[in-house]
Amino acid sequence: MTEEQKDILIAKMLDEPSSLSDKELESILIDEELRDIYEMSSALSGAYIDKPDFDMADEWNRFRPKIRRKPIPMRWVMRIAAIFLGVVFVGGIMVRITDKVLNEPQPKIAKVLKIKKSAEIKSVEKYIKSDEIPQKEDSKSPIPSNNAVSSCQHSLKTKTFKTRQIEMPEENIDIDEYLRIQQARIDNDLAMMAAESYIYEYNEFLQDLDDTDSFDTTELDNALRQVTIQ
Amino acid sequence: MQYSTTEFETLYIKCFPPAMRLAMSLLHEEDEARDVVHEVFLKLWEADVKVDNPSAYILRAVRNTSLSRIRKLDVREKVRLKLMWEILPDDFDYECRNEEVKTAVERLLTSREQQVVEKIYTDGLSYKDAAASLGVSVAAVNKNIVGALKKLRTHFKTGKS
Repeated sequence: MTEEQKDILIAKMLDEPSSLSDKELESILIDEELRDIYEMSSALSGAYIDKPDFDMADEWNRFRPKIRRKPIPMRWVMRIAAIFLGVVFVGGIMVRITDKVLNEPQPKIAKVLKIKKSAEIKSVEKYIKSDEIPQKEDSKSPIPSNNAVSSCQHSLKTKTFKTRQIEMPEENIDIDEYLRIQQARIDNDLAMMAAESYIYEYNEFLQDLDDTDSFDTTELDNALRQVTIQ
Repeated sequence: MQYSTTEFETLYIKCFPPAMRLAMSLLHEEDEARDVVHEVFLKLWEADVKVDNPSAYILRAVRNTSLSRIRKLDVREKVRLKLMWEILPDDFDYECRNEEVKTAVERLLTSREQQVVEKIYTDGLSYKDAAASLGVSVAAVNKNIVGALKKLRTHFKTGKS
């Protein structure tokens, strides 16, 4: 490439770069002198480009609408809410447990709970277990004496629901087990009361028989059968 | 911690002019340069931390963003905008290079050559308009500008070596 051709190419490169053909562009890139002149032209352009004094108030007003705070991501809100609720929930449980332990000392279920039976109940149980009819004081008649009947009556009058305590195993048991035991105790008390009632009626019936001269065994058998069925 | 709006406005007013000058030196177009500077300030605003040296950070970010945009242009577009072909190192001081170029123009070029350089590179005139403005022929403008570029090339080539 001659000097004259290079000058023409440089003029075209500087004045009308859009008119450069691909071949001319390639020539500029290949030729070291042309490339250096191009780089020099670029440096001049960078150094001498008009850089006006900027009106900063105007520049800030132009930029200001572009900035805004990023909203807090929803997942962070949910995470914070979950942590807060978790802390409240666990705290509530801890307070409840502490309150229960300190202010409401429960009787230890696992401990041996003793039962105090009245003498009347013991005697009734004795009758039931042995299927014996209480003897009169003179031990001659099989019919119970008036004293024995009145004892039973007194027993029924004074018998009330008492919290019966039974021996529990040493290991700790849960509340369900405790409730089952309490229910069983109540059922047992009801059964005992019913048994006392039957015995009382039976004694009265025997007493009536004693008072009458005629004794019909059939009627007694029916009455006993009825009681048994009940 | 984010900047408050007042803090950021102060920072913007302080750092925008040098950032804009650097971007224009590299990109040679005011709108493109403003777009780059806004992009950098926007990233800084959206960041969750305050940088230690915001001025240096902004200038470095403007240079990197500008060079990244230049890399994406094809040769023809670069020639149209008189952009660099070769990307200079990251630590290259463009402001210093600009001062060196201006000093070399004043020292090495004739007054006519300096006038032609000013008309073409500062005012952005074509050869024809520059010739008309200076009252000379287009050929004279071409001769002066080519001569000026060759002198400067020799100067910096010698200086480099």
